[in-house]
Amino acid sequence: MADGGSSPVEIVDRIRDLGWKVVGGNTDEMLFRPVALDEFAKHAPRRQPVFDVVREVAAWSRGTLGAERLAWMARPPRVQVHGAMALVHASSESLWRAPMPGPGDDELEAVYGLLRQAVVVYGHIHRHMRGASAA
Amino acid sequence: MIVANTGSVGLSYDGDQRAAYLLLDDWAPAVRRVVYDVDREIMALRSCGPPHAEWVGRMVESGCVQAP
Repeated sequence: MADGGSSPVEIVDRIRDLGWKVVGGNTDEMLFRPVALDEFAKHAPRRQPVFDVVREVAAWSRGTLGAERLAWMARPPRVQVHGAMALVHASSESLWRAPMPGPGDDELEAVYGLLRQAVVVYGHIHRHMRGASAA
Repeated sequence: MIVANTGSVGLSYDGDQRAAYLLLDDWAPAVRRVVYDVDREIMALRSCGPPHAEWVGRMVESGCVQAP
């Protein structure tokens, strides 16, 4: 929700004021639970310089948001179901790993079939994907 | 099952610097892009003091992943 931009406080407060239903994501978790980034980063040692930069940006966001907003950011669930749709950040099992662009039906079914919804929407990978379907 | 990805609102990594969201109309997904003042956001990044603001600003401006 609020890491890496100029206005983390304004974003979180606006979402709260609107009363939007949200799901938690990995960059939210690394703000209210910093060790989450370390746990993920240890699996990609060659990318440590990037993670060091991400860690510094997250520390600034964390300090700007303050304890009360960080506590609120820990509350959203991993899954929101609305009608026939389930919304997740990466998957219902992980905030940090999701199918990359161009996944096959088998991978989508394996990751999102567990949700048992006609429509599943996820984010995490930054890239749009429309209308991919699985059996 | 239909699976769609929202993409990122501000860092779509597709070379398009416009903001983005996913609209479900009768459960049919459609990506919508919205022009916003990218220069203003980059100026805000530079003035509000986060570390590595230039790096984030390059990604916002280019709409692509950039090395720190």
